[in-house]
Amino acid sequence: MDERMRVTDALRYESVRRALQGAAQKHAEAARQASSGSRLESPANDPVAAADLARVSAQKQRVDTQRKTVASVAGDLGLAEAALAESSDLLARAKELAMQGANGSLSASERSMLAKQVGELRSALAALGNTKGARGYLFAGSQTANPPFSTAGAFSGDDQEFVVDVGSGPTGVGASGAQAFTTAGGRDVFQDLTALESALNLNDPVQVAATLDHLEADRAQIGEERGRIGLKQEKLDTSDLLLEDASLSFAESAEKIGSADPFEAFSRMTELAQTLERSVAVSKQLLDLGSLWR
Amino acid sequence: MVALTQLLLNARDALSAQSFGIGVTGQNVTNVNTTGYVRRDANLATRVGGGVVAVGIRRAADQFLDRRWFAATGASGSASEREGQLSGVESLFADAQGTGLGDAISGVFDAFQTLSQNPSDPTARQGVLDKAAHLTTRLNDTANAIAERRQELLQKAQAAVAEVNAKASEVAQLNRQIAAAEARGEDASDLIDQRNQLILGISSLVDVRTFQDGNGDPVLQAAGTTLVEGDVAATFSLDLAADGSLRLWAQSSGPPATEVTAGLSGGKLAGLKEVRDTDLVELGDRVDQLAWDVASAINTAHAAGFGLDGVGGRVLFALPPSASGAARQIAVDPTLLGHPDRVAASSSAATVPGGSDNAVALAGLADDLVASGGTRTASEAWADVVGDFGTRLARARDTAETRSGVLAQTEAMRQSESGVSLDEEMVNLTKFQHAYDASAKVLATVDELMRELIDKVGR
Repeated sequence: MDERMRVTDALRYESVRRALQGAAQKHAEAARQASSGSRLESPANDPVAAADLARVSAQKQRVDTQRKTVASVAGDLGLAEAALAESSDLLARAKELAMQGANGSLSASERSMLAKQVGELRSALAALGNTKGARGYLFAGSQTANPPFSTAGAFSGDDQEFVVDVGSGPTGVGASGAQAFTTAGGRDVFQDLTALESALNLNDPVQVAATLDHLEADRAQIGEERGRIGLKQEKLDTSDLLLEDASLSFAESAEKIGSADPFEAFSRMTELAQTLERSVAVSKQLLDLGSLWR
Repeated sequence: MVALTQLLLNARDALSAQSFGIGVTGQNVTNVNTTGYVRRDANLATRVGGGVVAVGIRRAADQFLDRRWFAATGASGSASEREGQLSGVESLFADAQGTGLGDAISGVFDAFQTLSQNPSDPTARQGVLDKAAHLTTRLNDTANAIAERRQELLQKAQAAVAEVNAKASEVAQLNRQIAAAEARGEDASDLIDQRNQLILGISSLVDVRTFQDGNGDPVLQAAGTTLVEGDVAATFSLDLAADGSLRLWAQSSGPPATEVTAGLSGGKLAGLKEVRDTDLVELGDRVDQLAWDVASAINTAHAAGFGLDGVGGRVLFALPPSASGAARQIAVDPTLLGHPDRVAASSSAATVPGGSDNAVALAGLADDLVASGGTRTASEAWADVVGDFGTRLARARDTAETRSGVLAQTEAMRQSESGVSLDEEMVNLTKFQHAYDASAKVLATVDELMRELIDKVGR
């Protein structure tokens, strides 16, 4: 203020009012930041940071959703892998039965009993081929609504790869029933079991022996699909780790951008509270100034 | 004897003049808290013969300071109005809590991502429609809120114009009364104070300039045109241009009215116009463009896919033919409403129901440069809108604060010139009281001298 200024009563009151109002507003804002922990209640507080926060929040949301996808499909993939492992065990059992049936000392009725067991194994294998997961029948390709294998092993699914995006674009994360059990993978596993069953029923040890190689090939075929699933699981694990890191990184960025430093906010609030108190004290003195009218 | 008589008359005049001074001081003290009151000084002059006479009252005003005061009030008025109005729509663009439009946009992509996990799941399919509906509701709400706010601002502007006209009419009347009072030799200070308060009120609504014309008549210009000249007031009116923007017209005596929109540079009206016709229009356009870009990209990808019924070519959003009005008109396409099975998750009819590739493609649009002419992702484009709004509001706050500071300084200077200081008035009161006492003493002394003279001469 110009030192030559006339100080009038209204000027004195107005300066007191402004000083108090300014100090109170700054203190209230500091208190709000200290209590809410946010420094971006309004985009106007820091427009660039507000835009960054909107961007980072969207990225974090996307990454978190992709992590949920990883968790969801990983469950199905694990289920498919377990079903294939069991299928492999069933084929191992079928091979044992074939070896028994190939033994020339067995009688026709004994082979017939073995044939019955092979039939049961084929039914069990069909049940495994019809394993259901969160998204439907796991080995049906895109035809997830219906069981892909009949009890006889006829395949009604397709070889469509199931894809999701787990952070690196469309990624195949399905188990292929076609590759594991049908000629799409090399051999029709169910047909081979049916052939074994027929040879046993026909009491033909030579024919039975001829299925041994096929059954071994079937196991290898299923093993290959298990291997592919294993790779997909590894990829999902890697993606999950990367997405987790990304999520944490985005969360840290958002925290850094949008949050008020608690110590700084508290110390500023304390500092402004002291300023407000001083302002009140000065205001009192100004208003209590002696007057010639007393 | 003549000298004694003159002394007596002088003492009489002095008593009268000092009483006048005490009266003026009393008036100042009485009006110490009266808004717009300009302190008065008793104007005393020497009378021929050595006496004193109260020749009138001087208003302690500085017309140049008054003009600066009006200008500062107008500048502050426009800035604070813009800041206040922009703050009023802040909730539409603030997204710090993750509950804004950005969250709604992300929600749609997330819903497609969830659908890709299980394309035949009716809940996930319904989730897509729900999130799409949520997005359209948010966009509709935002656009409607902007439109409603623009309508409110139009009404506020109309009220401000009506207030300007009423005050201008009063100023013209006061000009007439002041001229008449001054012609009669009367003190017009109170009327001038009233007029200044009215001009101040007008300056808070529209930028004003005051001066005197060649005939000495006071002229009040507003929005670059003459609003009041002497006792004649023009009237302002508002209408809307073809593009919906405000137009300000001035009419002084009969038609035609003249458009003065370009001259509007200060006061509440200028602030209202800037927010209504610039800020909200530009922000609304950005939201429209964002809605159009995102929805168009989703529609294109969705139409490339197939629903559970094996039918493709369907869009998810119903949109107007261009980006203009997209945020207000966007809706979930009626063919999909209530039909989650029609959401196109598969890229071919043959891969229905388990095919997820189209859902993956739709979710992947979150990372594609679908907005702002293919230069920004959807979330980046929304972040740009948030940043744009934040910058506008921050700039408006800074301007309002700066102009408020200038106004406060101008008011302080004006107060310093024209305000009442009680201590100063106490000194003046004492000064006049002492002068009155002394004059009374002179009167008593002259009276005593005359009595003594009469006694001695008359004996």
